[in-house]
Amino acid sequence: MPGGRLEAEATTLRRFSVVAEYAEPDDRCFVRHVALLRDDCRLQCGSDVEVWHVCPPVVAGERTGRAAPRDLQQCCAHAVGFLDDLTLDELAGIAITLAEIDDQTQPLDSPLKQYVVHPPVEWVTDCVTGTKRFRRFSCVGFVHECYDAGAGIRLLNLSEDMPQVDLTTLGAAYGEPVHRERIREQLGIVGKPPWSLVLPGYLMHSLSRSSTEIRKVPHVPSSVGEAAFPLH
Amino acid sequence: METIAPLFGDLTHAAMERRAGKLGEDSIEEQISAAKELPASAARDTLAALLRPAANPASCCSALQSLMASDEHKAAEFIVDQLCGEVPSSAWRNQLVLFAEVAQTSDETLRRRLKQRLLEITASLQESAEAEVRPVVCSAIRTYASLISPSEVETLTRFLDPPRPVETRLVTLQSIVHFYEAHPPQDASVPGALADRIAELAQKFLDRDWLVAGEKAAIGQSAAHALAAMGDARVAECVERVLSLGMPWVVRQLARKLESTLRIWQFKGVEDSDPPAQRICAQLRRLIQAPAGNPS
Repeated sequence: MPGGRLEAEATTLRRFSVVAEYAEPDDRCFVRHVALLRDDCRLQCGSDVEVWHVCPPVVAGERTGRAAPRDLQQCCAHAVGFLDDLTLDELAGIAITLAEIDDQTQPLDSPLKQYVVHPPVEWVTDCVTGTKRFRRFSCVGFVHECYDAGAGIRLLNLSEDMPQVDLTTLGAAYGEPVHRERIREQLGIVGKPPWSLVLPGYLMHSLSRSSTEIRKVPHVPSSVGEAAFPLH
Repeated sequence: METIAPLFGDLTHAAMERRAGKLGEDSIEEQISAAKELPASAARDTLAALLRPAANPASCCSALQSLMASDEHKAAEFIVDQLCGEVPSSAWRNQLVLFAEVAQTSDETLRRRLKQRLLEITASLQESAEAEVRPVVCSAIRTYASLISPSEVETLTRFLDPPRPVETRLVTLQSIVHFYEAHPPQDASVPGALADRIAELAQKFLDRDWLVAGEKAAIGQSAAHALAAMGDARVAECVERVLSLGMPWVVRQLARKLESTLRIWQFKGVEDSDPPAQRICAQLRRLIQAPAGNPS
């Protein structure tokens, strides 16, 4: 099985591997954040590493990277997922998608202008013409889009209903502010709990399958328990 | 030029908190919750006070965010008035351009003034040597392209020129695709000079000798996509060129982009028998049927 929880001993990883950051570095392994590894590197559990991601802000290339402070261009790596046969062709495709996102990102200094939880990828359009202006992402949506648009690999079946998420789990993933209805609405989460939402851990479970299966079938999480990776 | 970096202070704070386990609780609360409870007149008063000459730019941004949350129309009006007036600093002008992309207004007068001003600002900033202006220029082009009508789309041609030194070709091509996805083309409505320049870019940037993954390849692909979205018959030549590259990722990505445009048009009621849709369908078939990685 490719990927898993990182160990104290460093592991060699290729660029565009997916790294996961836990909410707490404990045995629950609840994944709070996912990101793309920027370069080939050696990683051990808990090390900070440079990534392309939606922190927020979006950090997808030269422009968005320049606007973000250095520490927001990194995440703390606790687990990793990857396709061990990702081709040069697919890596090139992901690089193109990152370049496109880099030019499409709204750089205003408000996290909510770049960030959305539901749907995980959303175009903001002009209210009169309907012409697209820029995209907002969740951290999962960003990584999913890079693999989908870039490499033609759909990691999750986003058209399927996702497992129902209660407020406690939502808070674990996105923090205390989501306990307030107004904040949830800004993030695209409307109505009363539970909600059918994509959580970062689901992406890691998709990548823990065989390469053949990943390429053939987008993953559909079976329960909200997949918010943790690896499962116990 | 004044740097806009200090204006990212609030975001830094928010994102740092998120990394620590919170999604920027304090700053988001300040920006949204407090703003929504604040009367619009109070937010405007705050803004007016903050815009005194000695005002801190970060505080001005925060106040403007509050105004947007409480009264979006007034915020749009304020942004346009500010942009069209004498802007006290380049840093504040840049922030206003970014705010303009987020603001929404259906007021025709405001929209007309805004697009005219964005066009002027973009033309002027294109020649700036400051690296920091590129996101501002990109934002201005995206917003401008979202405001214009088919009779004005030709004005985007100037942003397809080589960098002067700011690179605007990729964002302009993407904006042209988005424009035609929202305004499906009719033969008479597509400006010839714009299509000619895009065809030229497609030819140059889809060149096997120097095509590498990254921005340049994205320009080539986006040019081919833009021609397809404009309903231009030269998309067939682009597809021929893409197939001859023998690079499966270019084939796959162009196919995905064409599929996406077709889906958007279908959602808008465009029939598959309409000539632009027919052209895309035909080229899509060629891309999908091509043996992966083999030159045609």
